[in-house]
Amino acid sequence: MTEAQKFKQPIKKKPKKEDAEPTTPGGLSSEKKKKLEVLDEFIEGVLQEAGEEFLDEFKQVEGQ
Amino acid sequence: MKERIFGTECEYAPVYHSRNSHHRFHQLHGEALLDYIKGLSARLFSSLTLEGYPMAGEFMGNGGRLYIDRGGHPEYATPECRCVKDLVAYEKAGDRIMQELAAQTNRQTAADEGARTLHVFKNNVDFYGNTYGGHENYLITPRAAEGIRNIIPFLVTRQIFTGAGRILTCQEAGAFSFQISQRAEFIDQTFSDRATRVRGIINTRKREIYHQKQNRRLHLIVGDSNMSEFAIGLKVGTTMLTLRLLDEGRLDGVPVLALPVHALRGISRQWNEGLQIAGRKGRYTALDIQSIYLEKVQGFFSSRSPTPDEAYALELWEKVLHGLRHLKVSGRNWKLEDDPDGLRRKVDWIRKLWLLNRYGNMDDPAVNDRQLKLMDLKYHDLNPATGLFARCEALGLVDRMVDDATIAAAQIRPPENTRAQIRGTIIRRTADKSVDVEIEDWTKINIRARGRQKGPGQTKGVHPFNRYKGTANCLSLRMDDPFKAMDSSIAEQIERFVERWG
Repeated sequence: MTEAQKFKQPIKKKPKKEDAEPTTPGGLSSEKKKKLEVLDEFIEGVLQEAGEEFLDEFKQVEGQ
Repeated sequence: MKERIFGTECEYAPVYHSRNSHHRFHQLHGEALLDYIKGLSARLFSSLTLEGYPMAGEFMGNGGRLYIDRGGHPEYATPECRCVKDLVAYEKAGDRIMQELAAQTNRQTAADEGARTLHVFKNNVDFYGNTYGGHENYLITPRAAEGIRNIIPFLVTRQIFTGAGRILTCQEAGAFSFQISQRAEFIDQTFSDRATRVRGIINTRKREIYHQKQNRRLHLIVGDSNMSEFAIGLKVGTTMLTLRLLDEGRLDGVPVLALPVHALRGISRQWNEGLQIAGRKGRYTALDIQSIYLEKVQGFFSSRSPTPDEAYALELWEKVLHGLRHLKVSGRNWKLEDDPDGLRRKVDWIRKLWLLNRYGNMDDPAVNDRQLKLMDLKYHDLNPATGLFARCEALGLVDRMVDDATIAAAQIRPPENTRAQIRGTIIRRTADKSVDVEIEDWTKINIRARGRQKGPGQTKGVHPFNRYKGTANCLSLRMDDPFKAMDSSIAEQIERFVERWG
């Protein structure tokens, strides 16, 4: 598979909405839910935009 | 030592992201790759003037230092600080400066580079397993230096609240795996005088510092670079408290680890399994060891008053250990099961784990490990449009220790209670004057006129007493004492010189 083909592959796995903040007692406020939705969309967008070939580009030289 | 000087150094990772396959720089190796990375760092720094940052060589108007370090990494060293919140503000100021430079560079090169954008990351390991550091420096007493072994267990275990978290890919780990520390895998010895290849929990490379009989420099390269302000504050604050006890000779009876480096890596990889590490007198969890150190500090301050900064750091430490005692993470697949104290708002590895958990279980075969790895790296992207931590911060999903206005001020103004104030003030005061500021190192500054005098009867021209130029038109200042900030005498000398020669 070429890099370009890899890039075009959609990110298939959707973030889980239902157990967004399982540790918050008493459920989530609507404001919080909204924020988490925004975050999920953001993550999906970032992963889509970067594409997995970004990993290959993340190459550095050993520092200290 | 009731009050001490400390600072951090951070090696950032510049990455050019292209959306086409024409730029194959990742196929570069060795010197060619090094030259490429250096080129990216140089591009970043070329934006310094456009962003309006006054500089004197590598030193900045906020008293910090910006330079290209080993591996071509752009590195920012904070100015000398005396309190935890200052340090947090100055380290975050470095992050903001780096991001501003990247944004400016992208604006300048937009026409040439097309879809390529320069991103700067604050982490400690690339996709290929190359590491780069986040270092800490503390002023300590010779007594503390002699007993420095007593803080090894503390340094080995503090990763439970300072770790930045890391996903290992199948290729690296044989299966999906999470580690709480990025640096743990790259530490080879308890002590080492080297900072590459053979790294120590404590770096013993000697540096000349002021009044060697009273002061020593503790250089740590074991820590992770943190995105979270609280993690930065916890890292420096708890270390500062531990060093206070070491200075006072009150750190006896702490556990002695049989294999510190082995323990460091083990905790990073298996903390979720309740790993117990071997000491000479028994086995301990990382939390046990942190609790022992905390109790020592609490005992010490039960009979004396802490400084406000020490009291603040102590409270942070107590709260984070309380939260960690109640945190539940699955020993099987790193699923974050319970976090009643909301540590995901403060601790980087827990925030990262929370994000990864939202995306999917790490042992779910439907989840591509490259996507998880991508999320891992994107957590550290300083660009608010593409960085996961930055977006969490913008959405109010992480706790702050300092506000934006304080960080903005720290980008341009030096701390007011260390010698950094003298350095920063000189750089700022002379920025648009006809003088050159030469800063040899953290202790020496020379201000030189540029061979022109602007005074009555002689508006411009070569200095008439050229053979005395070296002394007549140069102001040399030594700043040996790091605690000594600007005073009226120094301020007057600077003003007089700038008035006459600037």
